[in-house]
Amino acid sequence: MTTEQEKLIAKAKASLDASVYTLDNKTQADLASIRKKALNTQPQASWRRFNAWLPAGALAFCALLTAALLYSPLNIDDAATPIATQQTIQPEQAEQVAMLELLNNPEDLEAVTDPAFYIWMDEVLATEGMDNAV
Amino acid sequence: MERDFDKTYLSMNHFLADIEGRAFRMAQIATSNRDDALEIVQDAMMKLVQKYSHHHATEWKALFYSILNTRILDWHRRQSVRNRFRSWFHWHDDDDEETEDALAQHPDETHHEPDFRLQDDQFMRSLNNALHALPIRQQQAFLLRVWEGLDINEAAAIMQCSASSVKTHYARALDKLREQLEDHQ
Repeated sequence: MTTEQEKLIAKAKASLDASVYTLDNKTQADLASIRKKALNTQPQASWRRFNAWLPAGALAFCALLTAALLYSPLNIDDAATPIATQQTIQPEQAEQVAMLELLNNPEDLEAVTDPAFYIWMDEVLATEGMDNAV
Repeated sequence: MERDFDKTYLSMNHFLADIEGRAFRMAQIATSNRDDALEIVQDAMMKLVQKYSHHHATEWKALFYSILNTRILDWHRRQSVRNRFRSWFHWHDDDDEETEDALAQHPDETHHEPDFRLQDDQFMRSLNNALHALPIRQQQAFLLRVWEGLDINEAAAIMQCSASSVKTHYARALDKLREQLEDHQ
């Protein structure tokens, strides 16, 4: 910065300061009244500020989200389903349910469709088992 | 609790009393209107008290000038919209748009010799005109840097722009003022 600039800055600052010191009485009174009015306004309570509630709100939201995910109907364990089904069905529907469960399980279905093979297998196993035991 | 409130009240009162004159002059230079300047200062003071009085006192200055400058920019935006409407409808309302000579309200109570006083008055008048002629951002950069003695980063935070923008605004303001106040140097 040149000396010329420094002189200009110093002069401008002094002039601006002087303009404040020489403010007319009415303006000074108006400013004092404005200040008083501003000071008498109630500061906004900290608990009413949005920022103050942000961490607590975020925590509550996370807890709510976790609870919703944990107890969602879509998230019920599959093992609990048959028990629930058994509890709600009528006794006369039990046979139909058994059939449906059988159709759902391909291995059981095979046993039902070819019983001769399994009878023969049981016999073979029984005799071989006895031979081995001897 | 009440004691803390009293302490804050007193500190805030002291702070505002110290800053109100300069704030008013800044707003007056920007608006050239005494009443608008007072309204801007009042808005800034009220917002500071309502929203930021719980902040540490060392932060008040930056917060206050930030609010003040935003209010001044808002005033300029509103004026430019009004002026656009006026130019469309050729509407001239001299009563409403009073631009005042700020020096008319400054009875000089200093006790200089008459010729020094005249020179000071002339410089003050020329400075006032030159500052008013500056674009608002240059005006703000100059006043915050020179009058408030803020560094570039502080001024940038208040003006909500980058430090390099403040440097540019300040340098341009200084060049223009030097040109216009050449006769007084």
